[in-house]
Amino acid sequence: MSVIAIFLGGGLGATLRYALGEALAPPTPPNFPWVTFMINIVGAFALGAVMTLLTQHRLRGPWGKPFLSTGLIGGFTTWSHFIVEADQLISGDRTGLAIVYLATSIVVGVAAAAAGAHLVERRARSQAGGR
Amino acid sequence: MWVTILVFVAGGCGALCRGGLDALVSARWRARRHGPAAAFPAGTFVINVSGALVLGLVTGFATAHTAESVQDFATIAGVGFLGAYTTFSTEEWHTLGLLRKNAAVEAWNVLGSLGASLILAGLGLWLGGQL
Repeated sequence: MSVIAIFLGGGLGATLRYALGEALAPPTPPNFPWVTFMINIVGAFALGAVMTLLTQHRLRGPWGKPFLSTGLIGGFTTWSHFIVEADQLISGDRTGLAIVYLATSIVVGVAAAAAGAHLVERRARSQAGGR
Repeated sequence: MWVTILVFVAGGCGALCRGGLDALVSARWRARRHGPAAAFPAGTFVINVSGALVLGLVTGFATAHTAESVQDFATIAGVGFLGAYTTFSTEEWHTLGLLRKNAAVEAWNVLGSLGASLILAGLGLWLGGQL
């Protein structure tokens, strides 16, 4: 069952990323890769929230970790395109922009994951306090 | 239309490969390491670095060969399979966890993942262009 959930989630995440790329016409390599950047930041935020929900046992079964975390969000975000785009910036003589892309993705990505986790933790605390 | 369907199938397969390989590598890594090194996310590291190398190859090949069949293959294998196989969000989630508990391993994880991925993807881009 979780094999099917991972497959469906991963397929959906990859298709969503593909559709966004087609719709937003990704910038050609010498420019800042905004589409991948936004996808990865949104995904990092969502994974922070989902992983925290999982530790609170509020998401269970194959539609929890297998579908949402390993499948959908894992399949939506991409490390390989992030790296290849940075390499293409470097080979296009835009090493400075490549360093900015790498650093902002990592730093903003960690901050987004922390924000997603914090949001869920705060909601859980306010719900527990309200009872 | 069929490219979109194949991106979905390839994305599902990529996520399944990541789930399987991560479980395998992580278990083996933790069984043989003690102390802070055991916290290193070896599974995600192996997945992201290997995926960056192969996407470099695919992208290099597709840049050198403009035939429509090559572009479709690059979309299905690159955007579909490799995009879903590698993951940015999980990397950021591990980084956040290590940042809270183990800053030294976190630095090794971020710099090691970025460095190894950039070098191998660069090699892949060059090699793919020679094929």
